[in-house]
Amino acid sequence: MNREDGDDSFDYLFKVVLIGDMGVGKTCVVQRFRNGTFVDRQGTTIGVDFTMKSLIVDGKRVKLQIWDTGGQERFRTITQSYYRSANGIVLCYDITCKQSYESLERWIDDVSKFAAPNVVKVVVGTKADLESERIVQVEDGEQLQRRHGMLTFIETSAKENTNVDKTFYRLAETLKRQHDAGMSIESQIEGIRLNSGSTPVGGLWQKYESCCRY
Amino acid sequence: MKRARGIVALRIPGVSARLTDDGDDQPTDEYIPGTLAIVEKATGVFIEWTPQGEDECGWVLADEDSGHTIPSLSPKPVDASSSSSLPSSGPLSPHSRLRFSVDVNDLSSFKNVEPKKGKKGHPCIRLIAKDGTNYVPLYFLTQSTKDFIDVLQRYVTLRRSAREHQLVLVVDEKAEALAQSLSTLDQNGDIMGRFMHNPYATAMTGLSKITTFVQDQVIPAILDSDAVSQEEKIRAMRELRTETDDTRLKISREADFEVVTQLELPPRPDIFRESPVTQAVWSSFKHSDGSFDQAKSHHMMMNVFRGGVETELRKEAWKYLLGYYEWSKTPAENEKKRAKLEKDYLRMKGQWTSISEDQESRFAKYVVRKALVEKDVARTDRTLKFFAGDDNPNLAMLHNVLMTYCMYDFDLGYVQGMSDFCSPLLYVMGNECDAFWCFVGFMQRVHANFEKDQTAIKVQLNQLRDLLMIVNPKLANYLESHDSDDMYFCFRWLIVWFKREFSFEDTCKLWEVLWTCQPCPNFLLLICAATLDRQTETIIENKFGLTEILKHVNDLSMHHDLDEMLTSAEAIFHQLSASQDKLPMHICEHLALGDKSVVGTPSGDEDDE
Ligand SMILES: Nc1nc2c(ncn2[C@@H]2O[C@H](COP(=O)(O)OP(=O)(O)OP(=O)(O)O)[C@@H](O)[C@H]2O)c(=O)[nH]1
Ligand SMILES: [Mg+2]
Repeated sequence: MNREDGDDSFDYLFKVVLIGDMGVGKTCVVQRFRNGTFVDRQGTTIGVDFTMKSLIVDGKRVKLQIWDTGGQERFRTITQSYYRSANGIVLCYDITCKQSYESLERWIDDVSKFAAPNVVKVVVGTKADLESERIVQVEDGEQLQRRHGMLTFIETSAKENTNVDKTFYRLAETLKRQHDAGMSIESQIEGIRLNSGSTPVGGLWQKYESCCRY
Repeated sequence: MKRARGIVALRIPGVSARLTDDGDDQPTDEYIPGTLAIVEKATGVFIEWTPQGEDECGWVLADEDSGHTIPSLSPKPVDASSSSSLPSSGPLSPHSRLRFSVDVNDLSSFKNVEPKKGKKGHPCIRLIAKDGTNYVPLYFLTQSTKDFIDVLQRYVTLRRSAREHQLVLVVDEKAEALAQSLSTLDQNGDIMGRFMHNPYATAMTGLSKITTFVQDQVIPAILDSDAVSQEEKIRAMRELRTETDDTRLKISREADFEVVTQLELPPRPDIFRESPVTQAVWSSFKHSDGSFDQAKSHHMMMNVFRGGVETELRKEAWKYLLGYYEWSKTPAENEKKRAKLEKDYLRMKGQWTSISEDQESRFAKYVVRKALVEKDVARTDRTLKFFAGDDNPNLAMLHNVLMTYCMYDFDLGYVQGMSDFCSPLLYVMGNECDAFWCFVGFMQRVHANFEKDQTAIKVQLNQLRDLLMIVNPKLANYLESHDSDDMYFCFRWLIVWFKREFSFEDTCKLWEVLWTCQPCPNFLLLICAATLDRQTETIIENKFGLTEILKHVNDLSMHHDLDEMLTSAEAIFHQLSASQDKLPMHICEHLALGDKSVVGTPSGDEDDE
């Protein structure tokens, strides 16, 4: 994994959006991945926010722009506008909360309406440490994944740091490889791969966004 | 494999971070000591800040030298057990989350604030990244910022903004080259000539729709050539125009331009805040029987508007401000009202506390609501001492008030954000019944924000955009050309009245100011406009796009100056008020300007377009 520095090293930027009912633990998952900490009982997310995190995939630097959205149903019309240009969507439900699992159908509906058709979807069952309070079975999650042609299903615990990193790495890896494959087919689409040394300014992300749809 | 840890080009201990607030009852002005460094690494040059007592290098490696800490993907993904052994999950000090490392190539600009002349204080630097992230402000306690800036200049070209002195921009060489060539062109009179012919100044600052190319490429390029002379030109031209033009807003079509002539507002007056209303001042507005003197009511509201009320007075004053107690009644009469409402409260509380588990099993709607309330109570202001710890009785009170409100208004139910509104009320009132009825009063003003269709909030966002068009057309134009004129990035401000942007104490002060409905209803929108106005140069000079604007605005949280926001908002109000007869109708309507009947009524959130 030792990346050689030079002109052959490229950056990728992918936008990943977390959605799911309020309180399922989206913010905790993001915090765990971003800072390696579990901060219990921080406020509800109102609207949206995002953080950046770089990882190495196949020896290349991949940046994830991770969008954490508020789960409150009424504010959906606002948050929806932010998954327009997403490359990946992480759909979250709480394994101890049946309702949050059932709501996923509606969240998936939103994704098909507002996200790009080729967006990569992952379904995540959160709070896996609460095994004794489990209501949604592993099979239910798997079934949902298959039914909607999602990349993967995974159960995580932000509290005990289980599978959180794995989820994002898996997503990053897929996005990168999918992008590479897309690039070689449609080589005329340029722009997503940028030399790491000369990141252009302002509007950068927007430019990315408009050419991430391949 | 062994890797170089990087060459430290600069290391300054004694650079402290400062949080405006750490969520506790009292705002703390605590410095968090740490070390600032500029480090050359194989992957690039990084500016890094580490709080004291943490391993600088270890962390540096953890974040950047991915070969060591980021689990490899191939050949097989890490499983659950091994991922939990990541070094990043080790115990961290409370301030670790403030630690940061930023690639100089990702740096867009920084604010360099020197202490005011004659005032004590330390110079401060706040880094702003290209993605809009604002890093924690760093205070140089032991030396000036000169060394830092000097060393940084080895790696990037810096330029101080001509328009905002505190803003230092990292110059993008390519964009600069374009600007250069355009300004050369301009010297031939080519582009400038065309703009002079069409109203250049208006295109720049007025409400104009121009081709995207001109707006995105040419204008910024010209502006960015930056020499002060450019600004002079613009100003000169604007002045020239206002001399000859009627300042009334009018729309005319000229060639490709749809030009709306800019309305010249009078200069903003200087506004001063006053000290909070004391018990003595408060009482001076009462008759001898303890009811309030209606003749002095405007005067008193202005007092509260100008300074808020003293902490000790809140418990009484908020009851009046929120319409729970009636101004015209004597304390005995209000006490009678309270006794009646207390019974009402207990009656409604009884309606849900008496629902048995068996009943719940057939009452799904109720169970869902209860779960929502429980989830949010557990996450509301828990850093505050008042709500800290498990089994805190205040949590149960918050829960009870919110559940009872569900019974009071079952059609609305519980919506996220309501716990944010309720918590300060409970904190101040200290008991369920008073908190509940104050909450009812508060909800009357903000009810529409929580309704299902969300039109009220969208209407407010549109009104904010309209206001900004008048108050700061340059920024309004910029937002429009960067897909941000839906103003969604202000959503959080509006939905919970800046609760997430201020310390608890400041939130209380802001709210009591807003409850007075002075100097106009919808003053909240003017506060939003004033806050954005202050960010104009930062947003434009950093060339922020949709996502960066959102990030930047989110990151301002806990770094606002309330008094400054309030004074600028009021100054803007006076500006607009003075030009009422020239303002478009809809702006007057948004602020109920010239409408005498509105004084003292709840804000007109339910305005329609
Ligand atoms: N046991 C356990 N509890 C968790 C875990 N993750 C989150 N929680 C709990 O769930 C609560 C809600 O988590 P958040 O991350 O705030 O939920 P969210 O999905 O971001 O909610 P909204 O922002 O309202 O949409 C937290 O306060 C934690 O108490 C987990 O992995 N294990
Ligand atoms: Mg959240």
